[in-house]
Amino acid sequence: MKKMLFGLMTAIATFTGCEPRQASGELPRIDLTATSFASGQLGIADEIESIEYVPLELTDESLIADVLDLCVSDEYIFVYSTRQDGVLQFDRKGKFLRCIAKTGNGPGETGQIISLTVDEENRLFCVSEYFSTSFYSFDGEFIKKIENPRPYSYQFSVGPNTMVELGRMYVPMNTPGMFSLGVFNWATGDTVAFRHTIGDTSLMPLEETSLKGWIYSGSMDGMLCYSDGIDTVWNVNAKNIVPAFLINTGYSAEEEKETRSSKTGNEAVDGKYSVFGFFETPRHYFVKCFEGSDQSQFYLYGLDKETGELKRETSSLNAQELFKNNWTLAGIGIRNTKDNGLPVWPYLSYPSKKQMVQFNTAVEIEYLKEKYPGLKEHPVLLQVTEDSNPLVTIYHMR
Amino acid sequence: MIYKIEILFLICLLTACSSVGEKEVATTGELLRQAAFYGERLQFQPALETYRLAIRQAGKEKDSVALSIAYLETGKIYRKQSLKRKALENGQKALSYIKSPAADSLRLELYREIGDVYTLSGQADSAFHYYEMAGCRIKQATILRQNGRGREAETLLKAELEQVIAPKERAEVCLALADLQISLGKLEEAEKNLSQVPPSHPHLYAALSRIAQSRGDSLQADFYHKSYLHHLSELRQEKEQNQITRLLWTSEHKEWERRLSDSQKTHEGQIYVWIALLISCSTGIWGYSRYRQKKAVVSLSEADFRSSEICLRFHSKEEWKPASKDWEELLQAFNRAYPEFRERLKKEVPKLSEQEWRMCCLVKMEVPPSTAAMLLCCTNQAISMRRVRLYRKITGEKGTPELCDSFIRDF
Repeated sequence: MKKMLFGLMTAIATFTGCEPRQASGELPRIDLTATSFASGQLGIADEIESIEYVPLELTDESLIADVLDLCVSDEYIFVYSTRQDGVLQFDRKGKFLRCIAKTGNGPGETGQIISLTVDEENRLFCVSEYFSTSFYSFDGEFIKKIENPRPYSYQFSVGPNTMVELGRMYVPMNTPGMFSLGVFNWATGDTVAFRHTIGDTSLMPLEETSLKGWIYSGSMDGMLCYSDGIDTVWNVNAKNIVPAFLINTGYSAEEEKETRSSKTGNEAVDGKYSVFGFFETPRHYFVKCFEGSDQSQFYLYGLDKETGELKRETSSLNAQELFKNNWTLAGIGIRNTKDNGLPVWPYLSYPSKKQMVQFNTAVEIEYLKEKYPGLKEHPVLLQVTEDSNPLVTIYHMR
Repeated sequence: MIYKIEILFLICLLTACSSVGEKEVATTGELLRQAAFYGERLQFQPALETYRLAIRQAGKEKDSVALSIAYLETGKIYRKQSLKRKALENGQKALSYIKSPAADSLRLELYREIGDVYTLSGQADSAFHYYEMAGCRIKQATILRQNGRGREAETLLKAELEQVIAPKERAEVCLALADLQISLGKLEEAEKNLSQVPPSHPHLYAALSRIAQSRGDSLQADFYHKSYLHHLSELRQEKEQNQITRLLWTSEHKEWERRLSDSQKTHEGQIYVWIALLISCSTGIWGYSRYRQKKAVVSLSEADFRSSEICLRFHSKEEWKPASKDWEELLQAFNRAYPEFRERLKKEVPKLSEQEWRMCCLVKMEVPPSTAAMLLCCTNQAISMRRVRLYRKITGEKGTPELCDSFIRDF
């Protein structure tokens, strides 16, 4: 009898363990429409172990205008900028090394770059274009180009030879080959995980449904991906695609339909919220958004993963003014009480590596110095002039 | 019962033995092929693991050629991973296993590979040594050229051309030699060498474009550059090559040919006009006073500058990024047109950065702010802010970008 009981308990324990950690009902939820909050101010300083500032060297070859994309490996920083003929490679001290993936038709040359990523395990730098991915060594040597017929918007490495792909935006979902999220092994061509659609598919026929703007950031084991108009942020890792947390923007089903339709634009609705960005830390989910069509006023939300406590802060900066200086609006961020430096809002977060990467342009820093005079005394920011290249900040998390 | 268990045990043992036996079936050659397959697909971890197995097996079989191949390929993977020290270690190990004179081609490949790793490591002398042993004359010449020893590189390539080499290799050497000679200013010799390169070679047009550029014939240079791009795109063999684009290119090509022949005709016509003008002009022209002549030269110089190729190039709205030599050329021409401008400006603003100086030149040349932003590789917003700051630096007053512009133009 005792043995039977023991077996039964073991079986229960095994089956409980095999279930997904979070059923959909238990997912963390950030309610942007909430009216009461635990606090009116967000904090992140106690999660930051140290801050590494990397001023990117300015030479005739490494002038950076608008940063279009950026990625960081343990040894290098890769920047794709407008008005530059390729991707600029810097070391982690900010020294300019070389320009790779230059524009052209020759081997190793590129046309229209859409995203950058690093395959850390294979030590390869990957440059994605529509329908192809080029691979380079960290010494700038071109290694291989792989043609890819899938209609993706972005690619991110999440493991050796494994890439997360985010489906092409504004394309009807019934288009042959179209997908929303996928994990693929680019070496073998295997599909690891795949989702044709995300969000409510009962709202309208597939030929009208499309993916709108993607928002993404690193998660504890892969990438967090969110497409406008959908209430779920997905965690896509080297093994599967699962919901990570929910965001309530306040949109009704009819308004969501309008947002996701391939036949309409992204019309804002007053009193409802639009997500601009988010990131994850070991302890929190942070979301940045604006209300209705007023894109000058931004709100920051922080959800404590453990306690479920939701905080909200209203930014005092005019986002439209700041946008002229940096499209990522990194200046609208969480107060940095760690070293009284720039507000914290990373471009990409890698919580699994306990790292967050942020970039601020020189003109943006000058603007922020005027708004927050305390920044003028910061030893690193003191060195930045309006002629400088962007400043990359790497936050090492606890 | 015990009897049954024994049978079961025996079956398990046999299965285990047979699976072990299966594993041992893979020969060194098969392992090398398997590893190469992984390596080709950039699956570096399984590739390295399989090469390790191949090395172990080849070691047991005392197969030195297989050992050197395995170490060479392992080294190549480490090179692709930018792990240069490990790449070199494996290269040296591979070298130590090559004893058979039959493995000459492998030895040469190994020398070239080690040379490549040394080049990536920035150790030019070692790289040169290995390239020399591998017979890679072009790579040797590149190193010499990078070290400012262009003449030696030229001699080396010329000596190589005197040897009996395959036509394909000869074309590459000719091209490299011509490229070198263009940089040394020996345009005629370069042209002579390029005549030995088959017309289907795409880089031929890049070299011809550089020659035309060196001669100041931008139209011809542009024509060759377009041919170069066309040949490159042909080489890509894109399946979805658009027919319309091809037709457009052909018509554009014809247009360029027409413009070239027109320009040649105009050029010839201009020579006749000039001869006639020279004959008909009286010596009275020389009677102009020195003062007037000097004034005319200054104003002519400014007008010349405005219509010069370099000035027009910096006014071009097409997306391009000036290199250091372009800036140098512009600033030299600018200083000739406005001889005291820089000194006077420096007196007003002693701490004028190079970027600010470039911006002042562009403002003086009346380059639109959006074009200036493109040339200085910054945003329109940054250009506006710089002009406001510069105005404050010069006058000590708060102003607008437009005020800064008018100040510099009238300065």
